[in-house]
Amino acid sequence: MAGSSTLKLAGHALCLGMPLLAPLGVWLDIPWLSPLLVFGLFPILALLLGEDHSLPIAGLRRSPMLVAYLDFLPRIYAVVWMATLTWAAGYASRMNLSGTGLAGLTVSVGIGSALAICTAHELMHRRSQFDVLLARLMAGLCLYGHMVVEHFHHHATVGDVAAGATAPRGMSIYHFAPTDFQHGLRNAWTVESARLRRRGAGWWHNRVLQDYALALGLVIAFFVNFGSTGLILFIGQAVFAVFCFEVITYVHHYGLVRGEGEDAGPQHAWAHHCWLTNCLTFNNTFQSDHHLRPGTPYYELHAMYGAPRLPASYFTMFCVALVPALWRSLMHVRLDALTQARTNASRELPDWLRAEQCR
Amino acid sequence: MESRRSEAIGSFEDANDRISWLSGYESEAEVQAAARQIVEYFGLQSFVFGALFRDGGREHYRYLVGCEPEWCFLYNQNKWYAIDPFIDYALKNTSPVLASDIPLNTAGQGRMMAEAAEHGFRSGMVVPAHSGSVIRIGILYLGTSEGPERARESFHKHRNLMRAFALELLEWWDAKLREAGLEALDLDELDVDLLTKAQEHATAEEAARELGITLSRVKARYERLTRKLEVPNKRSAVQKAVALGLIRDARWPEARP
Repeated sequence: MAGSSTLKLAGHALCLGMPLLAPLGVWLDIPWLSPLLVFGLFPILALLLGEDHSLPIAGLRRSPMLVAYLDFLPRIYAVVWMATLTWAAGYASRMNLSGTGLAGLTVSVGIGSALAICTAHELMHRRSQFDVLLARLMAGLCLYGHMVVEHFHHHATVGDVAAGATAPRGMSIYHFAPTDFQHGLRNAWTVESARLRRRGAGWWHNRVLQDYALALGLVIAFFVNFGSTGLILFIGQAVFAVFCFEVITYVHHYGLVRGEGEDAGPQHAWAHHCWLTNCLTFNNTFQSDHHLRPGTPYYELHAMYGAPRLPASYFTMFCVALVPALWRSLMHVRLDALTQARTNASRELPDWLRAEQCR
Repeated sequence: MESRRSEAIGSFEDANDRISWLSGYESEAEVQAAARQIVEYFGLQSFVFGALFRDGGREHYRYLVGCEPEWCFLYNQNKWYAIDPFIDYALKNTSPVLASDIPLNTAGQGRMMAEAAEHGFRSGMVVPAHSGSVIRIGILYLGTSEGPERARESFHKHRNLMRAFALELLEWWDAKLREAGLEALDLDELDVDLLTKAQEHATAEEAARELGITLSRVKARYERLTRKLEVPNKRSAVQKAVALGLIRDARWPEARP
């Protein structure tokens, strides 16, 4: 099943269900339904469905209908997610929810928002101005105004600890997340300032400022329309989403430091080509390929030779990262094996450490 | 908008819309179909849009044809472009003109006009369109198999719209030729981005951080660019790219639709 390219293309539509888990939870009166499924059921489901052995369909671009479907999917996701977010804020403000109920709803919406950051990531790499603006709006809704500018900086500095995004060996997620957020903001500011100085453009052209101004506007809009409960939900989902994004960045790059003068390559991102994760996250696990070909649409990315393998899918590794001792015990063995492999004459990774088993 | 595209044009506003949509079309066939409807709105039947463009040191003609194909065949076979009085007019003038107002000076030109009358251009007009980019000049020939009164009436009624039509066709083709130029040199949009960054005097490091690629890749790309454009350095690559119309001249503001 996991080898069928057609099924995989259809599977991408599954992501649309993720934000809808929040209203479903409310309807079934299980406020924590979404996190229960995502962090409880999905790791098992990911294991059962297995790895993604599909390849991009050759000549896909000759089929305009298929390309339109795949191109539109992230945009449709954006609409579905924004609708859910607005609905949830309205629902929370109307109903007198308990603390737990509100927390459950916030986290449920936040899961959709974390995936929205992933979707915005796909959109911001596109050439169309509409998609880039949509990505910036989505980043604004997650109060993550420097995301778009910072991400391009990240591509240029993959594996550089000083530039952020790559956690050095031993750093815990709780240390990494706030540090990386600060790094990101500083990087984005430096890049934008240099660009504006060169162009002789005024401060109002600064995209970081623009996106944070948008975020502030959205905060005010949610407060005015949905009161303090709506505001708590809005800020809560954004903080949760950004934290999830930082965890995934941590998982992607942990300990994979680029050496002096070394070019960025597939060896600078961890991968686990889980079928379910790939369907839900627009092939986010093909991170190594994306690093090298940032403008390539998600449906044309594939597994790369030479990427080191994570022990389990993102869903599992997300939970593992939250327990630093467990994380270190699983990952340091791998980092040691990687260092060992690099000193070998062939520089080949041992089979158990290779992510591209599908090729 | 999709449904409106296939309907016949009924009003000035409608015609104006259709003309402004031209730049959005991908294929030559789409432009041709839309252009036919616009020409019908003018009360005419035939059109040919010729573009004179530079390719290295030489100059070529390319045509968008909305008339009997036989006419184009005859035009090319007899090398009438060499004596075409309207090209001469368009090179030196910007105003649209009725074909009957251009004097014919040679027997060859007389023969050419006699054949034109047989193939849907019994009377008509010529609309020059001038450009500062890849294409040097565009010439829109509009014609009808009816008498000169018909052409004169249409000309007085739609003269300004015809100019807009010719200019939009020119810009559409200019963009197409830019794409073809990129393809011929085997360059892609990333190369265009890098050339634009170089034009803004960005360092290789700044370009890498803003475009999201590694520094080594930026440097390798710049080397490849200078090789492909056959120039000694980055600065000359920018100048050549501007001359070839691959990137916009940064001295002028960007045109917005």
